[in-house]
Amino acid sequence: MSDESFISIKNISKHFGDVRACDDITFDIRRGEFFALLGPSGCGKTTLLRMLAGFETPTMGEIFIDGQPMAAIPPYERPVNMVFQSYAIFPHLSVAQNIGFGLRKDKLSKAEMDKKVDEALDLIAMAGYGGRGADELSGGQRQRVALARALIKKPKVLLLDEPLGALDKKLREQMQLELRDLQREVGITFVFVTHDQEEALTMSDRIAVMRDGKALEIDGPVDLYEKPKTPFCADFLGTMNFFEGSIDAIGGGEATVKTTEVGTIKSTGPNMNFSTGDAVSAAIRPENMKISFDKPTSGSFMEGKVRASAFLGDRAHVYINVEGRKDPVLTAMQNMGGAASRVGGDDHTVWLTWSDESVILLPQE
Amino acid sequence: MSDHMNETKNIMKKKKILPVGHFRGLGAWTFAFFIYLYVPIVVLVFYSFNSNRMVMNWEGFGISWYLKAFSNNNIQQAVLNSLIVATVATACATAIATIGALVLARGGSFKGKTLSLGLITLPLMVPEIVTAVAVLIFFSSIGMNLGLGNVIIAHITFCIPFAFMPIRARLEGMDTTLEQAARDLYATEWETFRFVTVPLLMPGIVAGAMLAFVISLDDFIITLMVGGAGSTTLPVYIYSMIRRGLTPEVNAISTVLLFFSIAIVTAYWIVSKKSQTKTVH
Ligand SMILES: Nc1ncnc2c1ncn2[C@@H]1O[C@H](COP(=O)(O)OP(=O)(O)O)[C@@H](O)[C@H]1O
Ligand SMILES: [Mg+2]
Repeated sequence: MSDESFISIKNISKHFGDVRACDDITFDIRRGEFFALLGPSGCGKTTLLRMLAGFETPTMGEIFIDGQPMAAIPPYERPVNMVFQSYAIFPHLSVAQNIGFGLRKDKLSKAEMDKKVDEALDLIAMAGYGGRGADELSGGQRQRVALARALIKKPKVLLLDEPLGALDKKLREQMQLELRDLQREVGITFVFVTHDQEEALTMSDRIAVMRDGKALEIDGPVDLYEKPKTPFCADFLGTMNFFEGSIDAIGGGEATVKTTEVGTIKSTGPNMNFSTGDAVSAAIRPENMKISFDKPTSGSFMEGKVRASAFLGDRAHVYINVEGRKDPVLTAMQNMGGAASRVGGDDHTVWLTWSDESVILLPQE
Repeated sequence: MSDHMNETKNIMKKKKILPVGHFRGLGAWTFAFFIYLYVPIVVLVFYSFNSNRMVMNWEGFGISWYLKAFSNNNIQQAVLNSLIVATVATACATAIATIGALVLARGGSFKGKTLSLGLITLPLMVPEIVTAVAVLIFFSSIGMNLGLGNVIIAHITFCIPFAFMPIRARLEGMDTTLEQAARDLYATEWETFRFVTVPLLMPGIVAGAMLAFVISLDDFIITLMVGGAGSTTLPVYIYSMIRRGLTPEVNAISTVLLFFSIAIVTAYWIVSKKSQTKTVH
């Protein structure tokens, strides 16, 4: 089977009564990649993961792993292992027994088994912890034990359901990097569920953005962020200023949008497959809108008044009221050399500038 | 049962409760209450060490009545019967209760599930005398007369709900993802049951068994009705002794029974307490 479609999800639906937890999902996951399922709570991420693991049977559709159809294969025969959201560490077993649980069937000698468990403990930097009880572990350690336990059988695929959700912020950031390194080290395909967009962007090779049981967009983090194709995705990954309107003219990699609130906006960005008259949004990321204290003499700009600013240390968010527009426009600036302090007080008149390349055309919802 | 008690305790802890401790005279009332509750038992235990043959005439400390009770053949036989009945009834009732709890907690939803649950726990509320009469009529109408066997069967019946409750409580509180994790780690359903479900359920099973054992050991009414000659258990024998006249021997054997029961209830309490702290993570 090709490495491109190592895991193949074909028209998968899962209904619970009237709830369509997954609704006709089709995409492929490549061999050896770190793949994230990203979406708000309740969008069907866990359900999809559980179908990969074999704990739920699809209502419709088929799943292939390494070319093998999974329909008739129970969880304990699938070449996958899962790290559960709650870690599911067996409380009646020691750390070593937890990690060695999957080896039970392998008919290893005691020495071979110990060796494998020790290797796994080394992998998660917990050498010497084998004799501990499950209730003597911190949150981060439980998470690592769950990882080691799932990896010890060297599955083809490791499934992780919000593995960092229960950890505090500092530890989570540290574990993001560790998990990434671990995946590179073992070379196993990771399919990872999260509702945290930053986590997905930091860790993944590719991301599937899900909403209401559907996979909306699948792409690498940079492309998803810079060239989203749906307003939902544009908004869910980071923040976005939307200027709604309709296409006034389009062609030659250039379009003008007649917006309902702020006049016309020109775009030379991605998504040029619209025609004149289509209802669209011209979308610009806050960090692509720069504040100027003098009226620009060229390029695209709009005038506004500072409404409020939020100082975040390394950067600042500034909200600008623009005449004719209901919601303020959000800009983000780096606080280099104390730049944020020069924005001035409220009602200070400023100009917002941007490059036409950074204007993304999106269909309206 | 103790799960239930702890739950109410927790609820009371969370709510801001009326500071009744400040009411005057409450301490005295509490004291009176405990006297009311325990004085008869203390008196019973006290006179079991009397060396006089009249119960109420204190003569001096002695354990002669214990020695007498232990060497009484009838008491020995009654104790043996009690232990046989309690052991067999506990084993059977606990096994049945475990299977029942598993079906009810893990069997998905099926028709009559709530009804089954109600039917299992209802015997706790049926007056014992009613159960006793019912069982007696049942045995005589089918002409069953197995001596001790009849007693055992009757005991299994009323022990099941007592064994059932802690097992079910334990099962309900159990994280099902642990079983899924086992299946994910290549354990078949049977292996999952054997290596994950049963060990995790064990504190509940042990607690249920101990409760059933005490209930069986202490039962009087049903045993009296169902048991014929030759199947006398200790409580029934103690009752017959009293009818022949009170001697400190009755006190002595009652005291032994009391402390045996207390020991088991304490063990039950420790087990269920331990299992509770274990489930928290
Ligand atoms: N076993 C189930 N029975 C009924 N509904 C379920 C079940 N599992 C999930 N759902 C529903 O399916 C939807 C998707 O759930 P889930 O996959 O857990 O979402 P996510 O992991 O993205 O938060 C939710 O509306 C949820 O209530
Ligand atoms: Mg989930």
